[in-house]
Amino acid sequence: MRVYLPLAIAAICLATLWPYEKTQEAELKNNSPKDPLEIRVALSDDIRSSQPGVNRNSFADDVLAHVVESLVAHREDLSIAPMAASHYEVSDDLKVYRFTLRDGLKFHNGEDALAKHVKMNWETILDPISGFQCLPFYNGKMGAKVISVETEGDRVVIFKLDRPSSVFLEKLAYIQCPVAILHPDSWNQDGTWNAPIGTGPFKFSEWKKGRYVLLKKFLQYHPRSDSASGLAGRKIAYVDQVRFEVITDLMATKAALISGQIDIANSLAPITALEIRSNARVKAMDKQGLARRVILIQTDDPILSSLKVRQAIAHALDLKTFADVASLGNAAHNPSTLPIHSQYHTDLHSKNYKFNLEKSKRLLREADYQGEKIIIKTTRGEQAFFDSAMIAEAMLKKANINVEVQVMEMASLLGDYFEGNYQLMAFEYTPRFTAFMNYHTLIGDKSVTPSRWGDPLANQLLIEAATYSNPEKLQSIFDKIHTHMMDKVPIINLYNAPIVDVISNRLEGYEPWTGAKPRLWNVKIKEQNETLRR
Amino acid sequence: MLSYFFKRLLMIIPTLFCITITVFIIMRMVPGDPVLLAMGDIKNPELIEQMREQLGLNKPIIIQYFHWLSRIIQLDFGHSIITGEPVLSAMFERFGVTAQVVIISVLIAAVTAIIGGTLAAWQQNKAMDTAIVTFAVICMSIPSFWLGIAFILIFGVHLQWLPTVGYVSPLHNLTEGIQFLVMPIAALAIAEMGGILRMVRSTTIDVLRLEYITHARAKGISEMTVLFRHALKNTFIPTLTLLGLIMGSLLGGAAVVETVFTLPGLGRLLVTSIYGRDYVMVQGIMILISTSYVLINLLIDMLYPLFDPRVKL
Repeated sequence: MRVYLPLAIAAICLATLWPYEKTQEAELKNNSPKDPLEIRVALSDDIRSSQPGVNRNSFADDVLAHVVESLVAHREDLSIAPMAASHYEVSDDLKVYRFTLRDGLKFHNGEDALAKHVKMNWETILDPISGFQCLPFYNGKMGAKVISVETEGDRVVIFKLDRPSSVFLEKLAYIQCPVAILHPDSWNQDGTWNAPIGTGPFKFSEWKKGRYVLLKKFLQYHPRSDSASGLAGRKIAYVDQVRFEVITDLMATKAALISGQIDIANSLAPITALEIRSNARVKAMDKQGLARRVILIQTDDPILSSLKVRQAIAHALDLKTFADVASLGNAAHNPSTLPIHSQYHTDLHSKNYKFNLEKSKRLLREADYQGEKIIIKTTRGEQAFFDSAMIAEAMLKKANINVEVQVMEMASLLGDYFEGNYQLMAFEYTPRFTAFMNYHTLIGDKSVTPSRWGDPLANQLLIEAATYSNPEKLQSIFDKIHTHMMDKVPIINLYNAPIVDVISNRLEGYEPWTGAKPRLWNVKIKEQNETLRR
Repeated sequence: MLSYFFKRLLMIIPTLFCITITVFIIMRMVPGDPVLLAMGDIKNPELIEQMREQLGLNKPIIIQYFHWLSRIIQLDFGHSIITGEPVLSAMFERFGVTAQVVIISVLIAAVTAIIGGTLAAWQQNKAMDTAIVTFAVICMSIPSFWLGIAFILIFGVHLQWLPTVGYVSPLHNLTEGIQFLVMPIAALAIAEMGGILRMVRSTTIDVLRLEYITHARAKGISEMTVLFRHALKNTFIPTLTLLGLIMGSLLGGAAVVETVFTLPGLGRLLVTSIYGRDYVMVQGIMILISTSYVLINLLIDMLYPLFDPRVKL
């Protein structure tokens, strides 16, 4: 019996290996080509699904931006450019949008992408069971309703809206739920999702859950002729494949970068990149990001429903120092909801609350504030959230505001945010590319989204903004919204988060983007160039 | 023996039943609605309602529980709320990776600790004993994740001998697979070695004082034979119990090491699922961990008579 014991242990060891091994077979076959040129990108969490706009997270957005294309996309300066469309025309009344598909647009299975596919995709996402998250953008619940989608021949698609909308193109290009052009075979026969067969420069090859997503170069991709810009323009896949490797630990990400096992870690916080910045094997590329760090104020809260208490909080915060300390000197205070890059961010949007402790104390007396406890919710899941809460607590206490920081785990914090269950919250809005979308994350129907500011005037102004395309008119509306927000203090904007992309020295052509998305088209590996030269 | 085995096996049922209730209730008490987390900040009430309906979250909690339990009995663990993959296959795929690391590291730790602990007991209060005990204390004091980070920095970043992220199965590519597993196995083995070593040492010291050992020595048997043939038999049973507990806890609790080395193991899946409020996945994993814990300890109990014929089950 004793003789069999080591054999039994060995058998158990082998048995643990066996089931997993079988699942590796597909992957191994795919890896069989000798040393394909591969760029490896760190993903700090796995994608939720491979279906654009459905069950998504920002990591899925990062991956799918390489696989699918929408009719339009954002340029480097965040303006809108045609992408799958060669060009578009908008009627004067902003109710009819006519897109002509670009020549050579092909799906990853080799079939031509035609106007009928755009229409089919549109009908799919408008079906409530599709789970498309941005459906309210198009069914009249959040802006104009799409009343019809018509095709003219193989290349022209016409969208008709029930009312004027200047933000329809922005919505189509919205990175969180792009209206991607997908082949019908992306869905299984029973209507369930299979995998994206898109029109982008890389095709979706394999998703090993919890490990990596592998994209392969789409050889039949026909790039645009205009120069690359943002998520638009000429895209050329120079490498054979891109692997998005799921690495949840920041230390492991940094170690993998330095040891050359991954090539790109994008959108790192400056403090995270600090210790590897000087390493000769990598290059740190800084960019001013669009993500907005803020202190949210729940205007429905019994204490914070008092305008004077909210104003007292605003005047108790030395916001320039706050931004300087919280960002480690990497960002300046931005009082506006609009990012500093926005064309609508004028001098008016730079005017901030004056730090004045005496005024703050006076306002508290006038509001009859009796030292009731105010909780600032935050998380350690993102160091910047925690730092903001601690700085706010220290500053507010100087004005005799009885604040206390409550630290929660990230999912709990998000849950409370979505339910509006907070008094103050140190928070960050992920990048929104346009002025309208930035205000849209903040202003809305509080009965539906309790975290939003339900102010009737602000809502009215935002609805108006969606009906004008004239920049001067839009400027005037955004100025009014900003002034009104400064008066009513539903939020305290702190700063736009700076970001750092750290890349391997072996890469050429990679550029960080203020949109905080990695872009692997037009990127080469240096050895590849040397081989070509030889 | 067989009746003991089946009796113990039957005892798993009430244990698992209690675990299902506890896990189910705790998961639902934790703030953070999985549907709202999945939706992001574009609130679509119809879609929220539709998702709740699909996931059965719109029903009373007691109905949800019994619905889930009835499916578990049929071995239908459901689908992940986050990725939609079948929970059963996801769990077993990840369990395979964890089991490789844990079983091998515990075996290495056990063999090393048994040899070291026996020698330390033999040389009690001498230089070798002091050195081995000091080593054991150091092993026990260093957390496995810290050791993992140190290994990554030394062998991965500076020397570049071993890969720091990723995973390849050793059965596909033995050399590459071993390269990926060396550091996590070493980190876990070293961290667990100290406790086992101290246990072996103290029990061996007790056994070496017994009369049958003196008798064996009087017969002129070599010291090594006395130690590893006669003494070890009696010291091994408490060690075996400890090994069962360690292995059981590591199969579900190696999350930190898996995160540091980016191994796609069960612990990491559990942590990710908790953060994402993937109720179905967390519940499934907890059942798997509990079952494996109970089964491993049952197996250990069944092994006792092999090492000590006096033990009757």
